[in-house]
Amino acid sequence: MTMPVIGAAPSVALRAALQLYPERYRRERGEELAEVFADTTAAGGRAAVAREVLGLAVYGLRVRLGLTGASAAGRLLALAAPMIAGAVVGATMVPWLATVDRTTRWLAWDDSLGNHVRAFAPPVAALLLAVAALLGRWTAVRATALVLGVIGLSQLGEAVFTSHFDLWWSGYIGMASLPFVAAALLLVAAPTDLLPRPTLRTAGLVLAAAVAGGLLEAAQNWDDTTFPLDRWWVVAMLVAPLLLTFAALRGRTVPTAVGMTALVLTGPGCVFNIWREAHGVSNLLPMAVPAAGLLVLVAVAVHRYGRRPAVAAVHRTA
Amino acid sequence: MQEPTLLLLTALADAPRHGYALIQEVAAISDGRVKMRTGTLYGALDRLLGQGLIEVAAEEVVDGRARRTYALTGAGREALAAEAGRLRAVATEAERRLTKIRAMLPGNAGSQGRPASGGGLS
Repeated sequence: MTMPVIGAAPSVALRAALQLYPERYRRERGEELAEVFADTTAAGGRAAVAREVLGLAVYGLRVRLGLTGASAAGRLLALAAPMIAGAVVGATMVPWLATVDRTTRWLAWDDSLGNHVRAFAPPVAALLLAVAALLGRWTAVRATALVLGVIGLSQLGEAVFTSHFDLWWSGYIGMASLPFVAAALLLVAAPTDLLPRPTLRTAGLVLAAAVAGGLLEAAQNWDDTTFPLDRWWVVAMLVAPLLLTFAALRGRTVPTAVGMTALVLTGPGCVFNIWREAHGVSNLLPMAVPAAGLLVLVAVAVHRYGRRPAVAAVHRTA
Repeated sequence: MQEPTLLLLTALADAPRHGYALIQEVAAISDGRVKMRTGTLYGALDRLLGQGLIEVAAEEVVDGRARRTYALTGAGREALAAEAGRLRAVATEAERRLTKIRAMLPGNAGSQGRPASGGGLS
């Protein structure tokens, strides 16, 4: 075996990448990883070394965050990825189509290139994302989801870092933009080796999620700043998906993935609307604390209820 | 089964191998199309270890360097055999249909003309 070809730099980079792994993993596998790294980069140039270091660093982060293909969280994210991708498409296209008239008037008033980019970048990115998801091109899915996430983040940044900061306005922009930031992060976090192949089932899942995401976005009516939030909508849009995610405590990943995908779209809007309807945090706490307590109790009950079959299964196999 | 998983299990089918040998074997089996990076390899190895499809066969020091070799478990052999059988069935069916349509193409001996509507590659 030989060491990497371009002097000390790869060793420094390799050490930095290995530092990203948890100490126990590094102790058990660090030397082995370094040996394989040395062999794979022995005949490669700087680009090969950089790719290997990046790959090692990314996997180190995954191990540290518990987001590998071997972890339950990783499997859950991979399962949810087609749903999240589809939901993002629906949640982008429905509001855009619903406000085409207003966009047209806006562009007639100011037809600068920047405005055209603002108007058309989200739907174009969403359509590219849809095509990539249908073809199972997950790198392209992640890239386009990141574009939408960055657009959302920039909109939120504009709202927050304005000269006259307004919490209400920031929350209002946040409820529309944060779902895309969250979706991009979840898609990037999904382990690549578990992401599904482009089968009819995957395509159906993406399309169904696009329809569902569009409907959820329309149901939230986020573009109307005047509507009073009906509390039953909160139950449907926030508590119901939250309860679905509790299925993870029983090892059931499909309902958890569905709940998580729905929460990505509805969570920010519901939280904002609850805060808005409560007229401040001081009014919100007396309502939120018992509700949170109740949810914790439900989670504990689900967890205990779910453990019994597993214990029984162990006894059966013993 | 994802292709990298299939390739790794295939690389381990005839003998236990260590990390770099696996990268080389996967490249050879895939005719150079799949080049696994170290991070990707260990992501897949950790997952397959967790699933019980492979195991650590030996941990040794060769020329002063740590080397861990991996091997298929019984479950891994069964999973690979099942996937190979599935792929074989698909390949056989693809060959059968291609042979049938080739025989029908104009210019071929024994051509039967155009396939009837609704028949052929359905």
